[in-house]
Amino acid sequence: MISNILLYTMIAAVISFALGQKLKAVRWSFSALFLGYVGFQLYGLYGQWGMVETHNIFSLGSINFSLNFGITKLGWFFAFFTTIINIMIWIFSIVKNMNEKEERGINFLWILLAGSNLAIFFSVDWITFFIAWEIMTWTSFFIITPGWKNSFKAANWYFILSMFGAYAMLVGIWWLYATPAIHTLNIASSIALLAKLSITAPGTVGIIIALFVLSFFAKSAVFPFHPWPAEAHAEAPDDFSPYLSGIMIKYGLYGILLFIVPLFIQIMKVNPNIAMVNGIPVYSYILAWFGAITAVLGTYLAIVSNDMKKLAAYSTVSNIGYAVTSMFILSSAGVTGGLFHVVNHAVFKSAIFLSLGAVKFRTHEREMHKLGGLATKMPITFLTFLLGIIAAAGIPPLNGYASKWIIYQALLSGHFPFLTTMIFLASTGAFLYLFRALHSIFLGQLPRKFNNVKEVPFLMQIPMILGILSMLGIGYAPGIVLKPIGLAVKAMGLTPMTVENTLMVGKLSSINTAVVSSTFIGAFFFAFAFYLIGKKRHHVEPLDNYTAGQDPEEFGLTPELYHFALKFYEPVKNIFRPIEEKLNIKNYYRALVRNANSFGATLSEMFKLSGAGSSMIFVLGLVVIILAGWML
Amino acid sequence: MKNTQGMVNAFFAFLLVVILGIFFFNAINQPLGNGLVLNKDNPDLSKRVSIHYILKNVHNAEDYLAQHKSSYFRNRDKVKSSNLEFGKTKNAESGSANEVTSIVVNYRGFDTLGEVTVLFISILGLGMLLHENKKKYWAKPSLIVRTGANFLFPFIVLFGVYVFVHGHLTPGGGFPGGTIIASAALLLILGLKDFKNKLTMTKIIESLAGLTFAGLGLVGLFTNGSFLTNFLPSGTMGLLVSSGITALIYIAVGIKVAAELSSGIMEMNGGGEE
Amino acid sequence: MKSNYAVLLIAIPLLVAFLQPLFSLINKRLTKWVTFLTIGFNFIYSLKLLNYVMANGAQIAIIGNWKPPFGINLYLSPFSMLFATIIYFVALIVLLVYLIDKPTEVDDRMSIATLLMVMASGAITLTGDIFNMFVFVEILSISTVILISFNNKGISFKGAFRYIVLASLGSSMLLLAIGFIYGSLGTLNLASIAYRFNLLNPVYASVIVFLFMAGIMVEAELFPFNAWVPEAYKGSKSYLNALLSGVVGTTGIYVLFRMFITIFGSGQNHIQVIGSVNFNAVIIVIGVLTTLIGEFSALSQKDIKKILAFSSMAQMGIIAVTIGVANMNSINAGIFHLINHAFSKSLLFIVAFPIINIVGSANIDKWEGLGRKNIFLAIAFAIGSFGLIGIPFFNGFWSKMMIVESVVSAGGWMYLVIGTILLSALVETFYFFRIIFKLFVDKKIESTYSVHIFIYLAILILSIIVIYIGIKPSFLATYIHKAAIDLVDKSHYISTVLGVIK
Repeated sequence: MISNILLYTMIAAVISFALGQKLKAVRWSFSALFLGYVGFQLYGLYGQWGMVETHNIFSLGSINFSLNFGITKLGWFFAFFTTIINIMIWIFSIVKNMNEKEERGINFLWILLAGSNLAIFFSVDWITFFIAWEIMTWTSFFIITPGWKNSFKAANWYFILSMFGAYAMLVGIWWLYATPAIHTLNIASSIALLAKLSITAPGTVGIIIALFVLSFFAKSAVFPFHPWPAEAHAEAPDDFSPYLSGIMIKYGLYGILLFIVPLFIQIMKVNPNIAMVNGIPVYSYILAWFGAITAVLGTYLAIVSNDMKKLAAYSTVSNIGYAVTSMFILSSAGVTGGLFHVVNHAVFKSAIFLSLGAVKFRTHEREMHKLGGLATKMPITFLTFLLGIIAAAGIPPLNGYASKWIIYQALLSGHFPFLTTMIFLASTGAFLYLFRALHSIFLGQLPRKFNNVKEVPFLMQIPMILGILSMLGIGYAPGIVLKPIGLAVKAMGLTPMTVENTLMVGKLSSINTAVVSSTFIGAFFFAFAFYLIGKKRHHVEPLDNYTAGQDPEEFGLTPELYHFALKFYEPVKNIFRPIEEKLNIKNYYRALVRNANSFGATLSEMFKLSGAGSSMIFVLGLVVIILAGWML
Repeated sequence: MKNTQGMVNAFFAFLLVVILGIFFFNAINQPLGNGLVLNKDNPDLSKRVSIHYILKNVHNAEDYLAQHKSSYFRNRDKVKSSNLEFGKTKNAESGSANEVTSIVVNYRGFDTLGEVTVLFISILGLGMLLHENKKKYWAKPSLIVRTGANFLFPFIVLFGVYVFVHGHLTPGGGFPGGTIIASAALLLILGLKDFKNKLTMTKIIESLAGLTFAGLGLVGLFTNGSFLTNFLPSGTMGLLVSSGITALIYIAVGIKVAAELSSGIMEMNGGGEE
Repeated sequence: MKSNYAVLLIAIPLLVAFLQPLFSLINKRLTKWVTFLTIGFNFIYSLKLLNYVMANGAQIAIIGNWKPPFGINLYLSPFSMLFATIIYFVALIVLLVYLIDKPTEVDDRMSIATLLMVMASGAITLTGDIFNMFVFVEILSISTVILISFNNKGISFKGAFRYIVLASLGSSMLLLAIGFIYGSLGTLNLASIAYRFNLLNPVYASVIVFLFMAGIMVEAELFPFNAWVPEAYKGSKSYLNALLSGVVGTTGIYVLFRMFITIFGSGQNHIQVIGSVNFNAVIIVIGVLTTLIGEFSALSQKDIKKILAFSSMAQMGIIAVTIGVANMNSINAGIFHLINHAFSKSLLFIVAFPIINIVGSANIDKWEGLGRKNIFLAIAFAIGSFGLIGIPFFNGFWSKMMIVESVVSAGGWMYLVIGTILLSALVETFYFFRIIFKLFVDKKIESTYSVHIFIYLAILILSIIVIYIGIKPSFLATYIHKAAIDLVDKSHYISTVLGVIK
């Protein structure tokens, strides 16, 4: 069944490729419809836990390569939700690409990506997982950079870090397999065996965990891999950014939930000697701190960026930070909160990116100080963005609130005051950049050149409206999502939280989201009434109030220079500038790449020697090899 | 300055070669191992496979190996060998009186086929590198050279032919014979005022000679089931008409080498047919 | 005695090569076709023999009716026939392109050189005699020089000169090694060398191995004996580079495999500690250095031929590592990867040829926008690079997986080795993706060059193979499995050639 779906995906990709660029509307509609069919099939697969499909590929020597697909609760959960979000994004893509001058032929790659997305969530052995992981990496690389030079530089950030992670995982996989006590490629049994092995050989287990964690962190942009999302999201096609942020960046978190978290839970159960901090293994505690650092760092970087897509991307990084921190608490609430936040973030961040895509679709601008006042021109987009950032900031009644509530519950009940502080700091910081973005893009004065901007076509509004509805829906009744999450959490060996449709019960307190939501919606309408009966604002040209009535053109001034969003958080930036100059991870990466290039150039000089020179190398090499051979 | 650099390079290279030399010298002077039969002062040929080539008892050795298995390697000299007598022995397994020839053309004829090809491809490469070269480098011949060339040419060719026709009997053979003939061609180029390159002719001769070599081998394959088998009777050792295809192959090699080297010289003489 | 006919694989091309000057008198283009047909015969015949030895086990072909170890013999086994077949196949595909390349003055010589080169490579894989191997290595290197220096221009001259200097150094090393072997063991037959090699004084034996290694690593493109690689590739025509990499390099690595594992190695656990020298370690270090240098050098290059040259060097390094690791899985992986590399790299070189003609430059910066002009070539290039990098469901993926598995399972300092290899693989992935990206950049290319159908045919065949092996590697696995068993089974090799000893 699963393999059939994957096979259909490949066939669909071929069909899409064959349709060609002339029929772009057809191919995008086709892919959206196809994904709808896949979603329907996936829904039918609910409940068939433990089903495994095996396809032998070949065996050579002592290894047998086979593809194994199975349905786990966690996997189904991820597969289903990502597919739903993907359908939303593709509905958006239909119109977006129809109006694009050239559509770049990314559709078939994206279908492949969607297929590998499913394969990741359905793979039950590491080889299958790695294959899906690799396909996902290269297809997404070519979607991010479909032939634009800027996007290539950006995609390289993503690609090199991802491939580095993938190779770390490859070594990890084969190390698992080469360890005699484990010698399996099955994910579930490798967890159990690794946990047992941690009693006798903690070093090996530590290294294997580290290799996998490197891979997952690189994909999910956890510190120190945080630079790639901003680059890649900003330059990727506008309809791909939601996917990148909503789905792709979650693969690493899926890996953590699939392997690392259950492993730690198992280790805690079977290994009494493990070093603990606050009741969790010290490794887990350290990794939680990586999450916390990511959250704060992402928030800071979002605050100081002026590009709206970069801002949203850094916001994604910081949200990933919350989820990672929460997961590594290893308590039931922690894992639930992390997982729930992943879903919520997928929903609200794709909504945010869709609305940003809509803005860019109409205005072709990315820098926030060139925008403003679009709220009246693009009301639906505005509403989506507004609700998206409310959710992102974790304000009731939207879904972000529910998951953040659980995360705080987990952190406080597990007695992690410092982690809580970090997360709290990041959460507060989120207000700074989110409302700045809202104000810069949608509120304030409308630049003259955007006087004729219209709302996006209805087909593009549909996914945004769906996003709004699901944000509100999950915020109102988080139980819809929390119940399947409970199943997944239970499968990891934890007692799931008590939840009902509109009720969440934590260790410290419980909350009825229906009451909270109703209160807030009531308050909203109350305030809205004031807006309606209050005085209408007076429309002023952007430069009217800055130049005391003189003609601004004479001074060479443009509205953009006086846009309040320009260098909005320059003071904040100034405060942190000394640290940023000394400790910029990006510069380290850049230096690495530069050095690799010059290293290569130096080495290749060796091959430009004359005939005499090359024979010198020959003889010298032979002498060195002989001497070294006898020394070794 | 450049010269100093060259000196340094040369010194460095010299040093490396010295190190390698010391290394090899040291290695060769190591105490003898179990299977080591290299003895610098008194080489023992009987420990090598070539002893059977010299004694012409390879077939006996094959039988001995099949019977005695691994002990053969310790007792190569115990393999039975028949008496060989110049001019009398008939139907020896390799009929040529010249032992070198029987090794080169018969026992290891396949290598010789390869070596002929090496020469062939080298001359080809030479022609390739020189194919745009139309210059003639030779000085105008003097009277003595001209007369001498005309006079000596037939004798040199005759001697060359003798060397390779008698290759299976006396020292010499295809390679030296061919080279001698090529030297006659060189003499002509040096000596004649208006020598015309005859590359087409040499090509044809060369091809036919090569065809003979490989063709004889193939005939052996199709008649006796093994490439380069001597399918003709080997006759009485020491007579001109003896040793089966060995003599024929050596003649072919001689012609081929002569044609190849001559064409090489002609390539240097400006190439082409003019 | 049927197996004796295997010598036709060598005899027929030789015969034809000798006749080629006559054909060239008729028409120079005819020689191309004759070469093509001869290699075609070789390919079909070797395929037949491959299936024969797969079914009936290893055979020998004796020459001149002298049984080994007295005469020269060919050794036909799954391993040698597999590689002979692949070499002939790659050459056949390359010749398909050569057939339709525009005629030059030196076509006759080029086609003879190509024929002899392919013949020699095949013969090296087949032969069972070390001196015979040397002779064919000589033929191989001289004919390769001719191929490189085809157009007499500066750069190809330079490359050819460098190659001939190093190749002659290498052959003299080989000859020295052979001299030492004959001087001590009194035989040139590989099987009896294998049988008696461990009797040698260890120091003496290690000298032989060092010399042999230095000699053959020139052909195998391994550092520090490979200074000829980039310049020679740059000087030669793009599709002929497929021969340099897919035939010469493959042959070099084949000899390394055969000599180090079957002949010099000690059989059962394939450990090649000879004297006090751990040759496993030596080869691994050489392989890792080659990979590192190759990939990083390729990163800094702009010329596609040089990039691919450095990349083939690096791949050879990876395969050398598998020879050094020398457990059963790594040998399987090494053979598999060598085959994959031959296919993918030939594909890349052949695709590069029409692209260079369309774009008018080998500089990859000028390649921008090719995918918009000719999507087929761009996709074929992508397929080739995917196969080489090891993207899932392309051929290189499986072999790279197996390499990582086998190296990791060796443990110890192999973690360092695999780290370096994967770092290099990361670099390789990056620069290939850079090229593929450039192919799809928006840019108009003006060109009137029309790609001949034969080039498309060659590209199509290789692309299909690359993908087919990627999707269904099991059909190759049976061959590789038998080949690897043939390779490591030293006593079987000896008893097949010499009859049952003891």
